[in-house]
Amino acid sequence: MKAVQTKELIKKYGRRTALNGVSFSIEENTITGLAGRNGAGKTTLLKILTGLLKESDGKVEVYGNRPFNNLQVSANSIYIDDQMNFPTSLTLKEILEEGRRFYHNWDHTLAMNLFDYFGFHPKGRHNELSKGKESTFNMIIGLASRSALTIFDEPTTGMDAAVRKDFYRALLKDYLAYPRTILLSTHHLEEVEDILEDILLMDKGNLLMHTSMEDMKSYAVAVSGRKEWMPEWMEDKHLLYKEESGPYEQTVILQNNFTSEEKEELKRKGVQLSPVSASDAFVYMTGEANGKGGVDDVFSGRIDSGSD
Amino acid sequence: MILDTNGMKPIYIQIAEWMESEIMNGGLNVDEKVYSQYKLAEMYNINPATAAKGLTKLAEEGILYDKRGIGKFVAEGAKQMIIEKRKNQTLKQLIDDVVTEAGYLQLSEDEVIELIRNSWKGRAE
Amino acid sequence: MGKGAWMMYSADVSTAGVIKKQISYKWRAYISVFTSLVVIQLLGVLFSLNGTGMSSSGGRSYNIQVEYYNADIIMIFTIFWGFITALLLTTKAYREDDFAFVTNRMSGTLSTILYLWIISSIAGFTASLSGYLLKVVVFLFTSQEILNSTGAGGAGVYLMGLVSLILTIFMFAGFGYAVGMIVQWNKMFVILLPVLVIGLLFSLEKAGYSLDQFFFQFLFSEQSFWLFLIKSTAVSAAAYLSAFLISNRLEVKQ
Repeated sequence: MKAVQTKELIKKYGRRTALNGVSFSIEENTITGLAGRNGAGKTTLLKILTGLLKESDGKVEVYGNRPFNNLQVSANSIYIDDQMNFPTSLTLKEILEEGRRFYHNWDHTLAMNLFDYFGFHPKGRHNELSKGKESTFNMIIGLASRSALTIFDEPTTGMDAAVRKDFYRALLKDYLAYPRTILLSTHHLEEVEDILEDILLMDKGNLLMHTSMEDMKSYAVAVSGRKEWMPEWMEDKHLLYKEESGPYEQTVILQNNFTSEEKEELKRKGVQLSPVSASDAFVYMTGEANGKGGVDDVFSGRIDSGSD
Repeated sequence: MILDTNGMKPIYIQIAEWMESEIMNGGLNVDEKVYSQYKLAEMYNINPATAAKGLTKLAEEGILYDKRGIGKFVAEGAKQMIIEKRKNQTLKQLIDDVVTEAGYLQLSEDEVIELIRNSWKGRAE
Repeated sequence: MGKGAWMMYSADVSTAGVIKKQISYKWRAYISVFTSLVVIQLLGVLFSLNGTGMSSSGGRSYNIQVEYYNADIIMIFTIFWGFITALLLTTKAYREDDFAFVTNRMSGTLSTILYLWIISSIAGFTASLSGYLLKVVVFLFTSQEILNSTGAGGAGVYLMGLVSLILTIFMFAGFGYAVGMIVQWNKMFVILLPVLVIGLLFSLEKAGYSLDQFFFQFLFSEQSFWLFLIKSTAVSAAAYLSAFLISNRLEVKQ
């Protein structure tokens, strides 16, 4: 059974289109990353999947059910973000106990162990936590709920590097012991890429790519060398980014679909091929820089005018 | 082993190569059960599907064999297969690179062989 | 490790079960509504001590002064409390608390309505008790002779009074809930609603009807308990139903 399935999913807020016909499906018991810049439509998509928002058009199914206003989906999924609200009258420990009452897979031992490990006070209040602590607490709820569909939307906001590392480790370990479908949106792709199986890449309300993390890592390649070394056929390659370094040197980021003959030729000419990490590839693909010279272009006229 | 997560080499290949070295240096013997994808995932903090891909690669090459429902085991003659593979692939590639580089530097065949001999001697001492 | 047989998904989710969990969750989460209830009822007792009426008559050698004390103010305060509490439950913060755990709109709204029924019953009961408290206070602090004038007493009458009070609180909570939902649906109604209500009253006055006739008389001057029960239940149902329908137009979280 597919855990998630969408077809031509559209979401509009008034006139603004947040999702512009998104189609994909996610296999059960996989960890999928969701990457995209601010405003790409990640949060909208994730909230629709957990039934918190209503789609404007298209089809969306979670374990075969339309999620909006659906008790079945609500009971089998959880949406964790950095804006969660809990009653101010409840202490942190009481909130965890509510979680235990509501979620049928809830592991209270795990919840309490993580709670102690991260140094929370049982009588603490959710609205009195710092941003990083709040994210950590929400993450505990997300892990302990063991929901069939567990969604983390930017779960690491405000967490320091050590806590983020602990979180990824805890997520992987608990996933290995209790496989479930996990969706994780993040701005720190380089930190999570190794624990992801697949990746969804979004830009401006569209789905750019849905591929395995392994393929994403070799999706782009950096080609650098003197301009006159570059063979003509490179013009036909899909250009993601171009950077001039000095008057003669040049680095271009291209889609990595060279034949071995082409690679040989480049090597012979002294052109360097170097890997582009998934997170850099994603920046090149979705950035304002896409196909251009990046933010440098904004400043390119300035030096000239200054020298006049 | 520490994974090189930013390198050109995919992680599943690194996993496969690590298991090969374990077999080569006697860490894993014939008919011994190898780590499961879950154990490997936990050890290296990677997705189990990635680890599985590394195991599958070795199974396809005949270095490991499958016992349904139990796991993967080191095959008879695994060491020899690994040696053959590395000779025909890894070593050949390295030598090709040496020859290409020597071509740039306009060295003769003899000069290159001399370099290799020296290296060999240095290693033996 | 890697428990393939582990089933994370459960198709066995009952609406009734979730509603039950929601009610007990709301009971714990909104515990502060009882603080405001106690405060408002004590305030009611305090105001009632002024007495609502007085008559005196005297002869040559005696002077009788009768003061009327009744618990009307406590009841009115409690009804008002029901209205405000329900109104507050429709604000964003409370609605997000609703959706912190497993729920959908139907279970969310139904559990809130049942919750309001429970707290209305408690408030009605404590209001009737504070009537007795009032008597004790009057007895202790005013050194006056108490003449009970509840008329035909008895448990039956007390019970009917209590039920009527609870129904009234619950009905006004329904008004608060509906008004709150309307405002949440469109903030324009913060201004529009009072204008509409006052406008309606004004035009009714002008046409020669009074508010009494249209509302209070319809409900509260009802002499038959059973008719009141039916009428107030119908009005409550209308209020809660419209709140539910409006909440269905609200997105769960925004």
